[in-house]
Amino acid sequence: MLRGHARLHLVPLERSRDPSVATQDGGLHELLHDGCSLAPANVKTARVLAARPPLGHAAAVDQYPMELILVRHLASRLAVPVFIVDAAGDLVYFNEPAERVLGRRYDEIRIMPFEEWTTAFLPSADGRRLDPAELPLVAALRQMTPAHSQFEIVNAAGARRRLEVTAFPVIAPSDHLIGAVAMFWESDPE
Amino acid sequence: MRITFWGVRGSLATPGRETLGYGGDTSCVAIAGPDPEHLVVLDAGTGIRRLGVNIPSEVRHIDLFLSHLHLDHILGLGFFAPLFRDRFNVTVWAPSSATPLLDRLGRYLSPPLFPVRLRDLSCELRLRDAPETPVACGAFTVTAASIIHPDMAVGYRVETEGRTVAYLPDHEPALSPSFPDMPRWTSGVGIAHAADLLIHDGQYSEDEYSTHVGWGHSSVIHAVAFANLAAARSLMLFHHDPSHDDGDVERLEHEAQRAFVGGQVEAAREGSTVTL
Repeated sequence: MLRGHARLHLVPLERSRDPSVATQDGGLHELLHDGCSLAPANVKTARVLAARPPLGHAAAVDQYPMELILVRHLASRLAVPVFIVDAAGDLVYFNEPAERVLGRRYDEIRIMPFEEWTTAFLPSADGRRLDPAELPLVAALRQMTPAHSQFEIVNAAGARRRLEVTAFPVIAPSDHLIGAVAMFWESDPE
Repeated sequence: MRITFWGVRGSLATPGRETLGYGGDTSCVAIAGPDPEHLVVLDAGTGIRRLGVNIPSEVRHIDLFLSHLHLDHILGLGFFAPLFRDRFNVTVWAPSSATPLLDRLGRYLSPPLFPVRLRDLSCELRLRDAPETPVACGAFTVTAASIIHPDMAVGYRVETEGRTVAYLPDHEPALSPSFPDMPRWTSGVGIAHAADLLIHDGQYSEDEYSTHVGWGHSSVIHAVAFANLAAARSLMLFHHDPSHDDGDVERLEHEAQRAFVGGQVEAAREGSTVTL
């Protein structure tokens, strides 16, 4: 795991003349005397950390925005089916109730590109296949407003499902669109 | 990069004999870099008072980054000496909100809660939203990111001369889905990743956390798990619970050290300095 890379080597920067302090060893830090200053001359026992090369910028993680994390946290605890897409429109999560409607398990998919999920379940209304732009989740994402509609899908098991879907955009406090959420209900559940 | 801990306690200042070892002042950390005129300060809890009276004479510019505006992180503001001296140039950064920062801070820094108003301060004061993209502050690069804690909180990533400190003093990553198994879905990982020093909330024991889920804080075991997930190179437990005496903090520190096998972890001590 990562622990092996996290090991630090402490190198004494400046030994204190105070034997009660100088005998301390191996800690990340040491206590300074009262009235200590940030000026280097007054730092009696500062230590140098991280003797090995730093990992730096190269190690960035593409973490989802915190608001999307919280939406998923909420969705995972709801009895109503929930579908979450990121700002690019890619499907990034659906919860267990949604798994039962869609006939797919989230763990099998994890991420489904926009072009795939908008067509995979053959959405239709009044006998006509829907264009992706007609799906409420896509409308919420593109227009940044709530959207609602009824349509049918064919799930992964080949069963036809009639759904009522409400979708809304997820907008961060900085006014950035970070994704959209659809909550749906079966109009005629089996 | 020199990191000094002026306040390490969470929630409420707890002076007294039982907290002499780790300290009783609330959150404040100062970071000195290559430019002696410039100082980065993280949070303005009660610990910032001692920083203010010990500030090196060379310092002219202070960037004060507030993780959030809960009282334990801003209570020291009215007692921070540089704010009352015209030789200082102080920029205060805080999480963005629909309510301007001037108004939010003004709720505390105005009568009847406090006799001095923000507009009466002598320093050259600027108020800014926490930077969601990296911003240069003197020789430092600072980035903020929202993290899980009630009422809009951010964590900070501070970099200079190839060294990185991540500061997430109030954080409950355990509310992230499937914690601690999915980095992309874990609050705070983006700014904490590969930090040389991760300063992280370690307020509770496991038992205490079980009765405080959703309060916005971590058990020390969660802090260790988060540090592992973020590949942090060392971990400083922070925001000690006000009900914990020195013995309690030491026990939690040892618990974390047993769990963080390959890295170094300690509980932050008021008045101590780490050099990276």
